[in-house]
Amino acid sequence: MKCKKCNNGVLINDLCNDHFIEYFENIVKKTIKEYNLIEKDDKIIVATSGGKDSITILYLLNKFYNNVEALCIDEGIKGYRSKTLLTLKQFCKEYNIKLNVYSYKKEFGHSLDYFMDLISKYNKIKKLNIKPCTICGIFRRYMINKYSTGFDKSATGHNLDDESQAILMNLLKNQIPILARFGPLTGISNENLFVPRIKPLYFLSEKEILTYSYLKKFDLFYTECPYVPQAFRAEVRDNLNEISKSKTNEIKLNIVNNFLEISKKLKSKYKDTIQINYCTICNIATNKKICNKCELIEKINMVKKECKL
Amino acid sequence: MVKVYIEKDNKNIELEFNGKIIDLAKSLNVNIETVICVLNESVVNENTNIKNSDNIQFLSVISGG
Ligand SMILES: [Zn+2]
Ligand SMILES: [Zn+2]
Repeated sequence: MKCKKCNNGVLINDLCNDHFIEYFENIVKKTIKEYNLIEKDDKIIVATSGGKDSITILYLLNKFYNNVEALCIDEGIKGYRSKTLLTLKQFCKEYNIKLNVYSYKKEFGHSLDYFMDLISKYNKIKKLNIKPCTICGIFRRYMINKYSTGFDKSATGHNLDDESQAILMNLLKNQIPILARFGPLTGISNENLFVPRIKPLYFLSEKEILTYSYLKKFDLFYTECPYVPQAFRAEVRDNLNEISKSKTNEIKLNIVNNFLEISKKLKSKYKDTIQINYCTICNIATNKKICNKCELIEKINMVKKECKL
Repeated sequence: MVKVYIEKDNKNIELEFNGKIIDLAKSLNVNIETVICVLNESVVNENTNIKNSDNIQFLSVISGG
């Protein structure tokens, strides 16, 4: 099989190595342009984990724009984060990118490992439904928001697989108001409360991203987080990959494109239902009385107290 | 013998095989959507033919960002 643009052999998507790299970068540029994700002089912070997705978007934004820094949240996951952090430090040094690292330990007093240990001990007495991904979803998000202040955009490596899975999950769980926030640019309105979150890899699959990082010879840490992901997400992911077999990205693209088609209406419908309050404990913007972060801290403190720790 | 590494299961296999990578993947129950194929250190298309003495890795594309 020959590349559809030249005479070289095909690597992926009917393209040879070089034309695939060109195609990949063009999709990112096109997504940024079409969804107005970045202005020329924007200060951009990229939330990175050291995995293929965030390394790729960090590399590309740094290639295309002048004001790019990296942000890494060190949750404190033994044997995982220390290694990815090392990879990330080397990468940022090589490409001359400023890396900002903030830890759970400094922010919340303890590592994720400590919190999970505490919760699993407590679970033996009473069931407290807190999963590792729940903690990260709340604490990481909070810290990313906090340390993105002062930047114009906060970018993440979310890809076509993440997004099509998330859309399906929210549909299946009947969570349309949450779904309304999705898209290459996150949020419902320009609330101006948070730094806008952008996802320039929105239309590229995990497979394409791993191929790109392999061709670019990024020194990646190829291991998953040791904490088991949400069971439901894994189920949706595996089923979606099963349906997508031999159809490449077609099915996943159909999901996100159909969603984007209706998302404008969703956003305007749910715009007025979002009530912005300020957390009575820490005063950050939230749609509840007490923000998710403070609520989680209260739960953890309660566990500590009951376990007499 | 073809040497195969399946990252998802952290499994090394050696077997007799002649044909396309995609068919090898099928016979080993590897969903081609979830892997990239690395043949003797270079990433290759799944329709590539492999022969004995080749070294093929199925690297899992699923991992945290
Ligand atoms: Zn070509
Ligand atoms: Zn709060």
